[in-house]
Amino acid sequence: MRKALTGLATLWGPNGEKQEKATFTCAHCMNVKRVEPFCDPADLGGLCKTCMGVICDRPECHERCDPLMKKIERQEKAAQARRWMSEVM
Amino acid sequence: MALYGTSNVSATTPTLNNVASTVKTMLQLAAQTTGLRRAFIYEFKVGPSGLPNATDCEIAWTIIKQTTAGTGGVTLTTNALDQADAAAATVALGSLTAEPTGAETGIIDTIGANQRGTYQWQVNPGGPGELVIPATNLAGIGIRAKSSNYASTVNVGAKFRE
Repeated sequence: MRKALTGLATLWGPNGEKQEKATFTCAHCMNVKRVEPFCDPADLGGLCKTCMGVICDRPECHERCDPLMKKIERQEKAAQARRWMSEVM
Repeated sequence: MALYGTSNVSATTPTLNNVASTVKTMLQLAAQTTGLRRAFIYEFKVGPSGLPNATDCEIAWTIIKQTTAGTGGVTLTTNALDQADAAAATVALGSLTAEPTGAETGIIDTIGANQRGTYQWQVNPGGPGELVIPATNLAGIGIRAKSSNYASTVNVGAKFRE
């Protein structure tokens, strides 16, 4: 679990007090989640057994495995196709 | 791997929008047609830069995926951390007059901080967990703020790689 916590969020309060929390980025939707120390891994969302990425607790992230980079590739290909169409037409 | 940094004051004459009760994008990083390239945000920092309101209040920050970039803002300088690197293809814009679209469905992170609070998020550049900007024209990531009482300016900085 610790390996999945890739980020660090730091909040400085009004009187200079500092809070640090580990974060992870959902492998399906890019949602950044802050993690309480020693929390139950099940509370975070879960581990996708298909892409082996840590995912957040949004229901759509649990419905099926749709990794973020695949989504981005689809978005880029669709944009390329639209650009090509606009040049041809 | 070229690393870049920018902020909403990275301009010769930065004009900063005041925070208001409606959300306002303070900094957006977006891909553009010329030299389309993916960008990966690995750090951002947000905080107030004006006098706090006499009534203690919050600033609500949201990080959003945008499908169409906002317009009318000031183009900001993106500085290569290693000055030997080429200029960034990603465009940074601040103080927008027209808000981006596609924002409400793509909230990546929300932070409720005190009006005198500062927040920073970072991951290892090149490592897992970065926020990805697709190589699609005008797609990007924006950092927005709103507040019930705070009505002054904020500083927003981000670091990214291409």
